[in-house]
Amino acid sequence: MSIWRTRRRHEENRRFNEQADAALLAIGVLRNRDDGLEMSYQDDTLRSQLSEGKKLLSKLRRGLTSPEEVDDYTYALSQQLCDNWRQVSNEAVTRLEEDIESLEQAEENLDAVQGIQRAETTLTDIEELAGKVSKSEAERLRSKLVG
Amino acid sequence: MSVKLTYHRRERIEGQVSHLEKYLSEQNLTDEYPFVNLVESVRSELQTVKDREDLLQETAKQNPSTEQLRRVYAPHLSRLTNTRSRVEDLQQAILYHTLSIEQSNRYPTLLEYAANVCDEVDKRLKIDATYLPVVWDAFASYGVIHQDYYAIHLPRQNDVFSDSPLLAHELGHAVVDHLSTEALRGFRKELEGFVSEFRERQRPLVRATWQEWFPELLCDACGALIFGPAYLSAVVSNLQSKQPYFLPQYSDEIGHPPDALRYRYVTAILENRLNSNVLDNLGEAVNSYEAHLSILERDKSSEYDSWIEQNLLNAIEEIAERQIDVDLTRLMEETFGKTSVSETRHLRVEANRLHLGLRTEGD
Repeated sequence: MSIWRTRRRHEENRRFNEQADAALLAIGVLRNRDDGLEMSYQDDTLRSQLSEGKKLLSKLRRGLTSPEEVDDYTYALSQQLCDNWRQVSNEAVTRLEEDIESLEQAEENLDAVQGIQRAETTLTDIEELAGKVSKSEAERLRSKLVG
Repeated sequence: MSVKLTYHRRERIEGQVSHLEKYLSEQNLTDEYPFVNLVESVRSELQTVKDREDLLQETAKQNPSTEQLRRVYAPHLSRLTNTRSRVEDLQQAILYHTLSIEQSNRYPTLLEYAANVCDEVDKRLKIDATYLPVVWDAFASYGVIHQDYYAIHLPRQNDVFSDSPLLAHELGHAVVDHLSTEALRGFRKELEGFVSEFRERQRPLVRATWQEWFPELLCDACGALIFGPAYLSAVVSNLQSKQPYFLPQYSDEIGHPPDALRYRYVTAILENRLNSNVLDNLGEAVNSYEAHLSILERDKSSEYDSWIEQNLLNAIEEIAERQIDVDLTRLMEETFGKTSVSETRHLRVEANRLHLGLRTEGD
């Protein structure tokens, strides 16, 4: 693989990872509040971070339903997600749609709505998969640039 | 206690950033592009990290369960990792800059020539980006800042002149980075149609392979459309795979398109646009390449032809053509001395005269 490609994969997956962790933090805040903990976090920031998560899941869903409309990196991650869940594309699409719906409701109500835990698991899987690719590509780059 | 660990990590990153900022200041580079952008990005990340630290601290004070703390701690750690990764981006940009300054004394002619070729190629591309040539181990392109700032690697060799057309391939990667979803839709649709012709278990590999081939073939199309025959000659000199018909069997084997495909693709692009006998003048290395492929055709897998799809190649060529201000006709007229050589084409004219045997390197 060329260093151009390695670099792009590293950057794109870092971006996915950041989007997922922004949404995960927002979900964490909502769930902790639900548990009775005091969490000083602005509503606007919470909404925007949940919206980031929604955008990410929508993009990955599009990667499975209309591969021609997304970039290679999104497509690859959506396929990895199916492999990770041991699900065929249709099952993964249904799961992503339900999680998008949960995030949508959480964004509207700013509450740890039913289904948010599953969306949290989905985002954690994405964060881990993207983080793994980004890290391995960074290491590959380092060996190419240093070696 | 784990909260303190994150403070410690953040402080270490801040220490690194301060050190880099001091270096940039000493070199009078603080306000220079791309450093100003990269430092700003790192500082903004550090601010996000600090904001999250406040939340983490607030949570930790309330005697949370491990699970409650994890909900805030894990995304925070992840952000710290990404912040460190952005500091590495800054380190790399500084490394390239330093290397370029040091090498400008050691290889002044080579680097100046490469920069001039990049300028000439850049004028044909309908994008706005900066290119920094540096001497490394091979031709390559590295996006220091996506779509914006590229380190162009050159091999350490005496003669970059005959290989200069390959720079058009490397700048082509910036073209790929600038492609919109709209520009790519036709290719992707075509690819999905093509992939659906394969058995289900084979589809992911075929799709991933063409996705990997796509940028390289687009860069080859850029090279051919910008440099003309000289690109074919330069690329043939650098196609040295022992398996010119190589197809991956597993995803980790996917790499550049097979040499046979690249050679025939570039040749076809040029044959469709040039007078029929122009390519015959490219010399023995090019003219004997088809014979080289014939000898090695015995190793071609039975699947090879079914993997090569002309419609996909056409789609890539069309994308390249839309992204480039193609001036091949004038380039050829000037190369053959029918009109005087324009300043915007003179390095490409020189390269073509060399490869077509119209002048020698010593002239």
